[in-house]
Amino acid sequence: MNVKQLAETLGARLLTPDSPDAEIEHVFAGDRISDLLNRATPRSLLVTNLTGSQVIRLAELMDVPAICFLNDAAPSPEAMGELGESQTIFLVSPLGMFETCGRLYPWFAQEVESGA
Amino acid sequence: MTSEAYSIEGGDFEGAGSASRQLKEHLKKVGVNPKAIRRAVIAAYEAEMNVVIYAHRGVMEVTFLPGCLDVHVRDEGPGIPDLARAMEEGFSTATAEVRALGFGAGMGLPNIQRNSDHFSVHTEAGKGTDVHFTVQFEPMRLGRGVVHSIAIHPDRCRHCLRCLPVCPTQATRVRPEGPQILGHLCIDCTACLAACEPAALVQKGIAEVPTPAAHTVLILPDPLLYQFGPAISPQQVLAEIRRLGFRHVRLHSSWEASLRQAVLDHERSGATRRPVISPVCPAVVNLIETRFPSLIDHLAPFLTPVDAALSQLDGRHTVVVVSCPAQRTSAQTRSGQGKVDITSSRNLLSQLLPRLQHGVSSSMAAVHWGDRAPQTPPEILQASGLTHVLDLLDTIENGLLGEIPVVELLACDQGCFGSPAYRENAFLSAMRARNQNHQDTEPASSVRRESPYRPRQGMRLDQDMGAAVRKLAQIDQLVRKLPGRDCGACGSPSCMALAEDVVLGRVPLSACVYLPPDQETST
Repeated sequence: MNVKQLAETLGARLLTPDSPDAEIEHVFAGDRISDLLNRATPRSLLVTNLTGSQVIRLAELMDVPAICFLNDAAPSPEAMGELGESQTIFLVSPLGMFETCGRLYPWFAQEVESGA
Repeated sequence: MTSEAYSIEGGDFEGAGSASRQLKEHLKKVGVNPKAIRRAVIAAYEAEMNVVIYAHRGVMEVTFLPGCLDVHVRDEGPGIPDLARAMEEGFSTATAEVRALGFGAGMGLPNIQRNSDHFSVHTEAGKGTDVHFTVQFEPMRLGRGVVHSIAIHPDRCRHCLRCLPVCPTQATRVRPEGPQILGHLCIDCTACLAACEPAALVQKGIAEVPTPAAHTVLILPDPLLYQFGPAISPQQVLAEIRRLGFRHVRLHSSWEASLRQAVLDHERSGATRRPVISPVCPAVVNLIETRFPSLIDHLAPFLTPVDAALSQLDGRHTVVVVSCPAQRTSAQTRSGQGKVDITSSRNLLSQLLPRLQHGVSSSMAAVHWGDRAPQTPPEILQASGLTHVLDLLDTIENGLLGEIPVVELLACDQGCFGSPAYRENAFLSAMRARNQNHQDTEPASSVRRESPYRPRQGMRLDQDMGAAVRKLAQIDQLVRKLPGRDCGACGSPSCMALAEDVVLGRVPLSACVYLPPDQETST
């Protein structure tokens, strides 16, 4: 599934240019860095309430194709400045984690995992 | 055995992660396999964050051992009061502020353990902690040895340095004894050949046009038909070639057309990532394997047109005329059984020129206007010339090309028409080819590649990973001393390339004309 379809499903806005190459095969939702770190792959979408520069760094470090922030809360411009050469796509969902994951669930069936 | 050290600042949540990021970059350059990189980066990041969260300052020391990465993260901090509890998942002493950032979940040390092959912690209250882990790895598998088809005549070199900036992979060097080409980087394009006016760099030795037998097939690049001015039609050129004894002539364009169709069908099947890159130009395939290995997934799995032609005509005596070094190299690797002869466009041109030039009046009436060549289908983006090809490959690599199904990239301007093998202007001869289009009507089919595309050694500095790391550190250090002008006066294409050359023992540092003499001996 590509990021454009994801964004349409969620009514999310994109903070960075879309990349047609970004192919999402699974979704992981969680708010703990250790969990995100363990589950991040070059084919995952991370869904998180965290908006600090650390999660942006993490995405770059783990070559994550896309992150979805929640509740219409985007990272600060300073945190976005950390982006550098990162190719991660940033989405901001207007919904909370429960509803965001709910809408994504049918698309990924068993592949949605929720953070403990 | 070599080591790297990265410093970590306690409490610096903004800069946190930079040691792990540097480690990741180095692991990539040394050629560690991606799975091991992932494990090492997760473990290193957790250890780094522990220093940021709990300690004043620390250092990450990475040692490369054969087949294994050994990491110590030492800090000056309070130490861990109850190590057994700290190893329990979910136990944490982090503050609420730290937890709000997503840290302090009590997963750090267990996470390091899970992602390493050996793990231990030494801690002393009031002094600090030493987290030690190792990650085993295997070197990444690389493609076969690389051959290329550019020959060097050192005696002709005028040391003009023009071959340095044009090379897309920085493979050229100009030494006092003449030009050099780093074979493992050369992609067999025509950039340095076109830049080299005195012909010190030329396409590698190719036999004269061989004498044809009755059944010999000649495979001809189309541009050759349009090299004799507007008054000579492709049919006249073909008639002249027949007089040389070649009764059966096929054109490269037949296999280009069948490749195009195969790539379009393949794109619709969805088996290769979009945009699908057509392997129409062997130099571009080499370029991707060397400088854009991340785009290998985009290459359609077919033979290049010349390779496909040779594989289809297998068993017959074939003379293949090549336009460039890349075509020659790939034709040569297929010409095992001695039934294939390779010759260059230049050789054939020099035979044809005296026959076709004299006594021809340039009257438009004499021109045979064939059907116009078919246009490029709308779903194909075609681009030619190295500047544009490199720019587009960058764009694709950055994921910014948008919804384009297929790209055809040609290293020379207007494709083979722009090879320095030809005398006529690339755009002019290409226009003539469009207008006086001549096609060969016999069947040609695309051929699937049996072997996968493989990344080339390219960036890797040494077969031995430890040695590669040591060299990487030396290059980093040295490049800071160099002026950064990338002037090429030393004979290397950039300051970075010179640093690499010095560290790999190819050239002394004194080659740099700007470096003060007192610094020359310091490395």
